[in-house]
Amino acid sequence: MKRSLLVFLASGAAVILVCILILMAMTPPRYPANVAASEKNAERIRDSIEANSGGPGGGGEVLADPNGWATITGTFKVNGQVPRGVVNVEKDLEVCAPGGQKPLSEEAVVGSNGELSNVLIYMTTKTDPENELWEHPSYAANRAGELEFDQKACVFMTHVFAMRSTQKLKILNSDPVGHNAKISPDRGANQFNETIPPNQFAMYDPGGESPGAFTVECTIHPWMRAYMITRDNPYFAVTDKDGKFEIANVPAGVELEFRVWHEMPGNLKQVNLNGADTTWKKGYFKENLEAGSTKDMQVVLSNSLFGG
Amino acid sequence: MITFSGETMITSIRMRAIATTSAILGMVLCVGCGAPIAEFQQNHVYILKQKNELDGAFTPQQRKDLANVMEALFGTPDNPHIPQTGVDTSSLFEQNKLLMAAGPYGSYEDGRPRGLYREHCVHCHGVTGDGKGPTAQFLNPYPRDYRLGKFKFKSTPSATPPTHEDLRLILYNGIPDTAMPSFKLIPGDELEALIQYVRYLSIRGTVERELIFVMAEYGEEERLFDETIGAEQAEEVTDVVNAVLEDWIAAEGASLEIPPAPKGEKADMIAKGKALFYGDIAGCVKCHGDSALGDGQKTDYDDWAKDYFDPKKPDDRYQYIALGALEPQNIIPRNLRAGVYRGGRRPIDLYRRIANGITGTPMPKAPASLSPDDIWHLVHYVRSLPRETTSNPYQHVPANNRERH
Repeated sequence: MKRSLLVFLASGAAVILVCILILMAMTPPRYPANVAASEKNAERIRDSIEANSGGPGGGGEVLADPNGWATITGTFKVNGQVPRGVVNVEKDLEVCAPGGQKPLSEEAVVGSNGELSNVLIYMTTKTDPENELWEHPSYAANRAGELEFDQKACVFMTHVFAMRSTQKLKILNSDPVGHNAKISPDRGANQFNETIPPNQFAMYDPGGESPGAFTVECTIHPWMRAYMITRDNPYFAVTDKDGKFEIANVPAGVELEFRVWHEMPGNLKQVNLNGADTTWKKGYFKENLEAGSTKDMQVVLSNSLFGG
Repeated sequence: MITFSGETMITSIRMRAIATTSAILGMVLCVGCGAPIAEFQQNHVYILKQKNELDGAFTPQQRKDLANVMEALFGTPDNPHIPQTGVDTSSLFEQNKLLMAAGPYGSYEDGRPRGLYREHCVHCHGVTGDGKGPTAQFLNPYPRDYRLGKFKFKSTPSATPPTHEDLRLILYNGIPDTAMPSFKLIPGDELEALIQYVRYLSIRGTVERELIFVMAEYGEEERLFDETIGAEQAEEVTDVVNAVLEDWIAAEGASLEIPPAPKGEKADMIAKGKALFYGDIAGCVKCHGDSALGDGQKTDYDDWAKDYFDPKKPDDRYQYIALGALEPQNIIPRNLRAGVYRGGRRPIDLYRRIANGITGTPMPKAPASLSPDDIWHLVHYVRSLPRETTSNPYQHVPANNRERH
């Protein structure tokens, strides 16, 4: 009798367990589990934030003053083959694929000896733009003024375009068909999307500094894409078709931080620098240059980063 | 006096066991059956994106910090808080209005309604305003994800948030040809509460994105906010919040001024608009198509999709979809022969769409070489299209007489 009762209770428990399992299986997954706040901590943070607001802003780290100027120069290469496809041109073929020739993809442009174009190197150290010790007089000319950015045969002529945030950009259209430039920075610089009729131009005022590269697209021809960055300081460069870059008159005697980016792998983290395997954490490297010196960087990248 | 025989004893014990079992079973079944607690979802998709692009660490501690800071600034879905960071937000929202929209559906003791957002909006736009309510996946276009701070149909330039009136018009009229209904029938102060709550969710979502971006640069040990340290870290957070708030406050005066429409022969103005539509300067035909059916360019995506989807790397999307992102859908140019205009059918609505472009979409703003009169002519032409014979193929004209013969 007792035994049958036990069996009965056990089977009851089993039924309950099965029911729970079925219920769990039926409940839609709430993936990912949300991260819940702790009410007590949130309250303490609220008190700190609200007590602090409106008060005098504490200045950031005070940087030492530079003691001269130096130069950073170098070459970026890829160690091996990198495939290069064609762009999938869908319309306006007579203009965008002249002679039936579709343009080559510019995602990774590598020369015959591995020279890598379109690598962006830019200084990320926050400086005081008004402090002349931080900006060599040779850069006074590009503080303001106009730059040109052109498109022809449905290709943006400059694939990675770096400019100062105080400059204005004249976006030209050298094609017999209309284009538009949809400029999409996530933050810092202004967003923009304007039609540019044939042989006319549009003016873009970035209005601020973007922390990284962002896209420029033509939505009439959605396969068209270039990248742009706008910086407050003048210390940036993009490698040319020989993979070379130079940033002249960089502040010396202070530690500077640079970031290195390429469209395909994004920020460059694993590189071979002057013969030694080097890790650039989150794409950053730091340099403290001696006044009057030239720092040469011979960088080799694995072709696996570029689909090779 | 009732005595139990052995037989009935067993039966009664068995009965009791069955009763107990079913009671326990009933209780177990009921657990978890209630509505889930409404909580703001952390922006998992954007965190993963910043992890991928910027090597953000986003340790469990850092994500916890983000949740704490967000709750400190904005409160919870049941108890919203207006961030007090030294910026006067009275033109954006009032606490008593937010309280009408927030919380579970019902009313307060004094009869004021409560939970209007969950009554009217949540099933599409979601508790967090991420456009991922339960209905969202069935819709095209998807419900707006407020967190990017971008709204399509507004009077301000492309990069500027909408004005109060822009949001009011969308709620009041709805968006034809989409799942967004009109809220004409709800009382004015309730509409006002919803407008403010949409702003609140949008600002909240943008602040969260900006904080996620700040955190992407952190090392594993760095913290957004260590509640035991206090005020030292407040400034970075305050700067992020204030930048977003000031953007929204400034938007109020940024509406496009619309010059008066030119007077003239209507047919003449329509003809001028038609020439512009097919011409190189405006180039409308490139996307809206040879017959203005919206079939000129159908392979692009909007900014809400491109936030996690790069058409050049389509397979990358699955990791985001696994975190709740919606499958990207192509954005299709408006079919101008249907006579349905999502952002409003008034001539000034169409003028704004052409002059400012449509934020977050491929639609660009008109080039500088297009004069206000040109834009008005385009408005005339666009409004004439649904009345053309081409738009109404079932008319009794000889060409359509095939049925009879």
